[in-house]
Amino acid sequence: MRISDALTGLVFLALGVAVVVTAQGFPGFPGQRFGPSLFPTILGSGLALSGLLLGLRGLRAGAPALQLDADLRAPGPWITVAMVLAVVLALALFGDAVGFIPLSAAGLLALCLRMGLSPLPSVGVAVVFTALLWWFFAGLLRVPLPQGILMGVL
Amino acid sequence: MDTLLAALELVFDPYVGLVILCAGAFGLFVGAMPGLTATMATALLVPVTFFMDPVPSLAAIVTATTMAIFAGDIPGALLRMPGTPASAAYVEDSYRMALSGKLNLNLGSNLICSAIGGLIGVAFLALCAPWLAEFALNFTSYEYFWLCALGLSCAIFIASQDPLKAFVSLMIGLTLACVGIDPAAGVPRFTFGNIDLLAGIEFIPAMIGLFALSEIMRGALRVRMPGLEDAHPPAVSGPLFKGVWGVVKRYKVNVLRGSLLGTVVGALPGAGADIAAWLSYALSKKMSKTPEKYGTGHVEGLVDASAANNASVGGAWIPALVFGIPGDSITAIVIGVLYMKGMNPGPTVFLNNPELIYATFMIFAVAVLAMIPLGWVAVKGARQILRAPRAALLPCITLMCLVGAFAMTNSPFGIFLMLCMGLLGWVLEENGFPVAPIILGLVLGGMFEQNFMTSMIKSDGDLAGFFERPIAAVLGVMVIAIWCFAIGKQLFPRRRAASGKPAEAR
Repeated sequence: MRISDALTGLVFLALGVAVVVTAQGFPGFPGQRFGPSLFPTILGSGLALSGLLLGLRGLRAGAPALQLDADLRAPGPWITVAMVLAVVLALALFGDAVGFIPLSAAGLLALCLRMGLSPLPSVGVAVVFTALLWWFFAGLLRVPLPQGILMGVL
Repeated sequence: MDTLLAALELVFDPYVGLVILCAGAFGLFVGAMPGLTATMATALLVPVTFFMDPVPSLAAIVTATTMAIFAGDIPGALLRMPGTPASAAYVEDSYRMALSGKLNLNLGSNLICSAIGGLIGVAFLALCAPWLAEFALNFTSYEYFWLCALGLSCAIFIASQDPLKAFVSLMIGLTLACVGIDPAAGVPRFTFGNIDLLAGIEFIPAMIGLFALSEIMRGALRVRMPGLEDAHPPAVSGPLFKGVWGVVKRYKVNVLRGSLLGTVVGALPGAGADIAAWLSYALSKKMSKTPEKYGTGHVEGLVDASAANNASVGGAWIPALVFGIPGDSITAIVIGVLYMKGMNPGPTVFLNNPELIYATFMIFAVAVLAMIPLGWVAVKGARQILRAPRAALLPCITLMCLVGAFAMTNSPFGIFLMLCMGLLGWVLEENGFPVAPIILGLVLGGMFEQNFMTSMIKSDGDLAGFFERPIAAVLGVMVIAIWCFAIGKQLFPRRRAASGKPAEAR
């Protein structure tokens, strides 16, 4: 999946300008010439400049705006990626409410099945790995993984 | 002599031996898992070591760290995901070597060079701790500024394929490092009113996202496709150490150089194993007779850098023990542990508890030597992971990354961070932007800006002030020379024989 250099260069040019503009809004350092805005301004300028150079290079190369490999034009792979992100988001958003164990098991099961593993090994992986993670992180290392609906049971 | 014997007694205790074994296994597991890092291993060990005596708890941390830094090379070679940031500098060479069937040579060399580097690091720690720390004390903001600039410049020009894109990545990384509270004036920047962002972009979840999650997304995109070249290296069975001694003998200068550089870089506060590896790789490429082979699966850079990153582990303890200034993030955690145990790091610890200091040195040596058999087990075992279907591996690694990101911040914010950085890393890498400079920028950004602002304020904007001190002047000239050389190469390329690429505008 390649986005042309011209486009990415433009994005970074815009980003660099945005950084510089935002930085101008930072309050100064009372009694000093150089304040919190100096470094971000330099960085933003660097970003904008390199974005410009990249964009020019991309324009000269003349590649199309977006190139996709033939096998990536189907929606299938993208749904898989979306599911990975969805599982991560679900744990972030609903972890406290539902708990780590149910979400982790469900997420693992869904992802394994989606990625092509047969149903029985998928269930095995989901159960065993969730148990392993819980034992190692919550049990052994005392990381406060959310218990959620299993509160009081564990 | 008494203190030496007392130290020996403390170290060669069966309980300590057991702790070393368990901590070593833990460090290998954590280091080998992309998404879990050596710093995380240390941080997660702290609550466990809370209940132990000083020597076993130090033994646990030292062993876990040493193993993790080596073990980070394993997933780099097998899955192109560096297990720890220290392995990121040479992950490309590592992976290519594995793909071309030289997996044993790769990991075997890594292991032996890491061990040699580690031992040399310990030797320096024990012999030169006072001297090296005193040298680093002379460094002011100017020297630190130029040192950071040198490391970052090396990362752009020497250690990457497309300098312009690497520069963009670096700028992104440095800008991300500006998120949070400004080091000079204490003003919140780029936080957009979000409380979590006040602490800045947490480095570990960001790294997990950039390196591991983006790799998972890339894998997920292609998981059902048959016959992919980026799937598994061919399984190479047989002795791990075959041919390694030949490599070490051939590149003995590299090993020595890498170890020395690693120790020195590790000793400098703030610069850790990853910087050591980057600088060492860059220097190795610069001084090599075959620089064009770097990045294509050549073992020379690996030799340098893996020795360097393990040597820096020992080196980082020099300022930590002698002055209580962390040499890297791991030693920052260690200093906390030392305070908890009543062993306040500083010159007084050499006076009050010298046997503990000697014990620490011995533990280091034992940990490095134990790394060889444990590393052998890890390499043999790690390849079994590869036989596991990707459909099972990818979801499991996703969950591990998730938990790892959560563990560092103990809040969902870490997970969100990982997600955003993962998306960023994925899009960038698909388009040829190297992701490692982003991490470098994130790690060094704070220190870089702090020293820059301090220097500017001290010299009141006079740029000549940056070259007044001799060491600063030398470093500064080196940085400028690198830039001039690299830009000159872009503007005036030597005539290329085959490609019809027009020369850039003069």
